[in-house]
Amino acid sequence: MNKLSIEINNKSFPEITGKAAFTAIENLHFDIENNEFICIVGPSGCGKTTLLNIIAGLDEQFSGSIKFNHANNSIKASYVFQTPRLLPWRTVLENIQLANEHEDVSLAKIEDLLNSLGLKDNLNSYPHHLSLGMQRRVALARAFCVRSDILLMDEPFVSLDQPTARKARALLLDLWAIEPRSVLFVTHDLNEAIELADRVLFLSESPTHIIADINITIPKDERTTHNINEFKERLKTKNPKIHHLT
Amino acid sequence: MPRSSFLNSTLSLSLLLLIWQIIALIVASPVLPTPFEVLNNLSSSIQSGELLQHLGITLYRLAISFFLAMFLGVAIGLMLGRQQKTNAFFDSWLIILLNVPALVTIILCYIWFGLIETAAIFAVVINKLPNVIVTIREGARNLDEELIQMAKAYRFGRLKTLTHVIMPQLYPYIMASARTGLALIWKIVLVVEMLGRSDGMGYQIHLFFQLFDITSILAYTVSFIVVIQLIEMTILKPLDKKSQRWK
Repeated sequence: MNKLSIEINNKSFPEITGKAAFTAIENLHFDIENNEFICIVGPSGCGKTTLLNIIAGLDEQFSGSIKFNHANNSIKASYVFQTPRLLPWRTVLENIQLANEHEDVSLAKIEDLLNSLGLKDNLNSYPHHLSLGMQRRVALARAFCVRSDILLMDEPFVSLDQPTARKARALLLDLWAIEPRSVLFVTHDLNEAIELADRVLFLSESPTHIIADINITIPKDERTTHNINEFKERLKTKNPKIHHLT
Repeated sequence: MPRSSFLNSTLSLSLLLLIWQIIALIVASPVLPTPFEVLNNLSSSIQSGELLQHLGITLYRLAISFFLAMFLGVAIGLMLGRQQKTNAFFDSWLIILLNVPALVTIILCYIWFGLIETAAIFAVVINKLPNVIVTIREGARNLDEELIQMAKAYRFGRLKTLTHVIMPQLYPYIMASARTGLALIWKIVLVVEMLGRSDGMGYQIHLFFQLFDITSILAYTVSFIVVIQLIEMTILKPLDKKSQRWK
């Protein structure tokens, strides 16, 4: 059992010319259980991306710690950004291979993964020749191919149309079932969060902290639009604090 | 039907030769030989082996100083473009280097290091280096931060980030400075050779100048233009094509 504990006491951005100093995150603490799917919902500009960047190790200027409860090794994260962030001068296959530290991941595994994402004919395509939806799926494949302790997702399905986004969510859950790992999924869409998550964390305006930590009690296979809406209504009446987020 | 680019450039070159021929006939002076005389001179200089020997030594100097200047320029330009503090500190050095006349650096190199090969090549590199640095620095400032973050998140490491993320983005800037560099370097190499070497194109042209042998000067120039064109067509253009295939 490997619990990941996130303890951020303070994350501020120093004053730069034209911009006042700014505290983004204050006293934000939570644990992630092994293979738990957590969604993070919060108002825009509240520091959700900052939080993910800290966990990914991209931002080391904060006070606090990100560590495993029972191990000292560093955290390996894979990250699906808001934009696909593929290298345009490398093919789909090369993009995925490059993200694998030792490049020992077998071609068959990558092919399988791309196959299940409907990209089996695009192994050697360059990202410029793919649609945005396809590029996002490649980014998803890249994140799942890498062996990681935690998968960070920063509104990965934003700007996709509804049917495509729904399909992408289904694919994400399928992949997660095949390659389980802890997931931290940032979104501003509560319906999306309820559909996907085991647990939803609600964040405040900055300086950000957690205002509610809700377990989604609907079984995974019963998360229909109707049930999701019902759950959302109950949530609203029980938690007036998060009213503005729903 | 659109004319092919080959036909186009042949026509335009023929026109240039024609104008040259006409003016030469009108002026009828030994200081402006006709294209035919130049061509004759060129073929006899090639046959005697003299031209090839001097051309070879000049190309050798050009190649060494070109690669040195490019390698150092990319490394320094990348560092200055990525590190604002270092850049702010060394910016004035760069401006000084950019503005010291080529002639001054060449003379100083010869005086300080002697009339030796190293001094000649060093002088050429010093003249070209600031231009490469400035171009690459511009490229390094425009690197896509999002991709660099991605590389960091997926633990690419320094070498992989450099070869797969940074270099492909710098490529257009490297090609631009290679093209202008080639043109600039061969001009400077000739001056360097004229001032302090006893072989190479510059030395020969200086000799012809003293003998007032305009035909030979033009023949040497033509041979050099041909070589530069060959480099452009057989090395630079295919490189361009290969690197643009993802677009």
